[in-house]
Amino acid sequence: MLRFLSFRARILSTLLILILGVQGAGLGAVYFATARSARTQINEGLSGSARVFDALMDRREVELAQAASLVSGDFAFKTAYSLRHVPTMATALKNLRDRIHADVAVMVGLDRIPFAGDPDIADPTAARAFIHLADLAAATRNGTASSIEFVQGRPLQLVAVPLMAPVPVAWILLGFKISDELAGELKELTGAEVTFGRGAGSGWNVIASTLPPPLRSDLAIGLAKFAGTLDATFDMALLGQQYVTLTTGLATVGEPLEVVLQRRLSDALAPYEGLRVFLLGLTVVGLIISVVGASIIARQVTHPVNRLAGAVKKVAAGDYTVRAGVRRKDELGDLATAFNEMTRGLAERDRVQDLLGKVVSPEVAARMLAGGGIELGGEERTVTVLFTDIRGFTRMSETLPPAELVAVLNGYLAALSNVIEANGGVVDKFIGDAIMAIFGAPLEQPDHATRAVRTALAMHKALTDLNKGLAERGRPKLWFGIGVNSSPVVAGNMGSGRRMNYTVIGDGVNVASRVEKLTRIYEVPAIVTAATRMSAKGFVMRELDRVRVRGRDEVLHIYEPLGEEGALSDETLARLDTWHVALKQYRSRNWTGADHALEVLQRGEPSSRLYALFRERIETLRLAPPGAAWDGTFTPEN
Amino acid sequence: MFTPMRLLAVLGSLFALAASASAADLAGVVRDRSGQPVADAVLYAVARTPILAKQAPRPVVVDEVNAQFTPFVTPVQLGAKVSFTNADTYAHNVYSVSETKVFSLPLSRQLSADIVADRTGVIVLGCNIHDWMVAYLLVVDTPYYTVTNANGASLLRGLVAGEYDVYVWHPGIGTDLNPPQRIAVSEGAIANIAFTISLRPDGLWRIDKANPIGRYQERASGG
Repeated sequence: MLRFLSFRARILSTLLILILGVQGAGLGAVYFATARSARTQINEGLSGSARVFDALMDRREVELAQAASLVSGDFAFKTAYSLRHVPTMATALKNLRDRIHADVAVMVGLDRIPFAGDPDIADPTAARAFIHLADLAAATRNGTASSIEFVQGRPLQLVAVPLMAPVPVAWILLGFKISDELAGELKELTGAEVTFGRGAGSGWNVIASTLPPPLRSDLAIGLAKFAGTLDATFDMALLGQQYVTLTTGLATVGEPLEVVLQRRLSDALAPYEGLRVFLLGLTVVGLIISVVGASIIARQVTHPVNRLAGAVKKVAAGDYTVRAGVRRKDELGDLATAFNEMTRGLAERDRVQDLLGKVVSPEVAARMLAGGGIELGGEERTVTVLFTDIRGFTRMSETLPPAELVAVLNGYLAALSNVIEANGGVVDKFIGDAIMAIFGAPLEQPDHATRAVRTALAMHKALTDLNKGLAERGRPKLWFGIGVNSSPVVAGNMGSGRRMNYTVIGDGVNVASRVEKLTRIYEVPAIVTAATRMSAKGFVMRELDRVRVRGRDEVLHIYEPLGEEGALSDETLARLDTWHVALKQYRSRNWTGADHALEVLQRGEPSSRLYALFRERIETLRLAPPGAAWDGTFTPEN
Repeated sequence: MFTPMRLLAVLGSLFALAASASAADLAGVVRDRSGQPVADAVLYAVARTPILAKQAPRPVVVDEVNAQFTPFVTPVQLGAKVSFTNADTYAHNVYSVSETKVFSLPLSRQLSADIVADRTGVIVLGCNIHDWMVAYLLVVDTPYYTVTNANGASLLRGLVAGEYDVYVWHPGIGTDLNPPQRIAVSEGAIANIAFTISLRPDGLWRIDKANPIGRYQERASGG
């Protein structure tokens, strides 16, 4: 999923996940620790409550006994005792009871026979409890005792003190109900909910409690499950609230009175709640700061990256002047610097390529710049080489100022170069006012001959247009000759290790140069060799002659390209046929026939030098007929 | 209480009395179950046959010295007058809620009222402003009574020869039966009698002034 997000969003989300993880772990640890601490504290607190409870119950016994001692020490009470009158004693006991706010006051004789009391002491179970306590008291050194006893099903905290007159003459027992008020007082001091009760059958009875009634029934239900588990700590839910519960027992003659001390878990956790909220707040604030910080960092990273990306796009579009305006001393700054160096390098290379393209052909320049190594040496290729040369340049240089001459020459060379390049040729070199162009190297072109011939025709047309311009400016016309030859050559880098040229060398190159020079003789714009004519497709060619070039044994068959097939008029084609007939007659020494045909042709095209040339030859041959070896091959004088 | 010198003197006089007696004497010893002599035990002899003309009961005096009754135990013949005196500079009360005799003398520095022991039985004496003060009167229907000394010994003199039931009593006497011992005494002779009694373990017949009972001082439950 993260893959689809932006880099900035990824930095942000990664940082956030990390921070969230760390903070979450911290928060979790604190929560865990506080929960555990709270639990420890609540358990300790409850144990403390139990200790306080025990101490309070003991203290209460002491207080009750002391109070009982004080009231029983009252001399008037002793006097009342002296009457041995049970009804009087009963009222005296009631009086005693009310004085110290007891619930029960009973007198038991030294013979253990209860003989007066308020309320009535007839209940045998109560009597048993009273006697038990009197026994306890009698057995102690100070003659007092205390215990919890069930009297008529209600638990009483009973204290027994002797009636001293001045030695013990009877036991006075004072009983205090285990009431909700008592539970409330104990809660005040223990800090725990206090409940007294005991198991009853399969259930549990609440005798007194600080809990509100609905919770009491819940507690009774809950405790029924824990029946008999005294001195245990466990959790119990009362109406959905969790209470930590401690049970303990108070000894009685019969079943023990159970005491349940409880603390609400949420109350114990309350002190930690503040800390938790604070920590949560701290986490949130930390997160916000982290988000802001991460955004700033992400922006610091992505902003220069975006700028660089924009710059790269411009470079891709060819704008090498763009510079990444990122000034930093970090890795991104290094990247920007490297990028700027790269665009400078690209611009440099572009300029070099441009410059190189002007010096060498664009194809060669591209090849050189594309790397792959520039090595001396070449390969054999069949190419077509095209030569042009200006006629009458010398004359023009005499009439025009040099600057203008260079302008005219450059215009000429540029125009022709354009034609060459437009047809896929490579200008190999300018030799003064001459151009050498190659077709089929350095890029292989299977139709190099066709291209060369088409170029020759186009050059001729371009020159015509050029001359039109020159004429308008009152300048003399330029004429040129084109020589085209196709042949195997060696193509490659020629020169020294430090300075070299891509070019082609071989005899075929010389042939092309030679046939270019032949155009002066025949006064045709272009001459192609038989090799070229063979390869070039789609042109109408005029056979010009067979020429034996000086110093060479082979005979060159030379042709003049006239135009594309189908582009020539019928008249022209008819004249071409006539010419070929005339040429055949000439070669078969039919001077009269040839001359006649030529004469006809010459009449049609008076400006053509070709017909005149052949008529002059016939004239000469008639005067001095050639030997048997003559086959019509012409050998130029120069 | 009894120095050796005084003890010798007492014993000497007893022998002197015996030698010149015209009546019978009874030497009694009271011990507890562990064999320790018991002081403050009352021995009294009741004649099997009322052969003697009635003597006028001897009055007794109980003094109050340093907020203590003295003596601690006083046998009284039925019908005798009991006088209370106060040697202290402050007031005392004397009361009893005992069934034998219920009374309360007004709180006074100069106790003047007397009581008459008009019923047999135990009268426990107390002072209603000094809880620790306690003393015992044992009202008996016989002129022959005595109290044991620190050695648990006593000498009952001047008995008319004859047969007697001799009783023992002590404020701390337990519930065990202490039946009377029948003994015949003859003129000019000293009869010997010994009692072994059991005392209540609580010791509550006497009150320790420094640590009075009935004041709750330590946890009593669990005994």
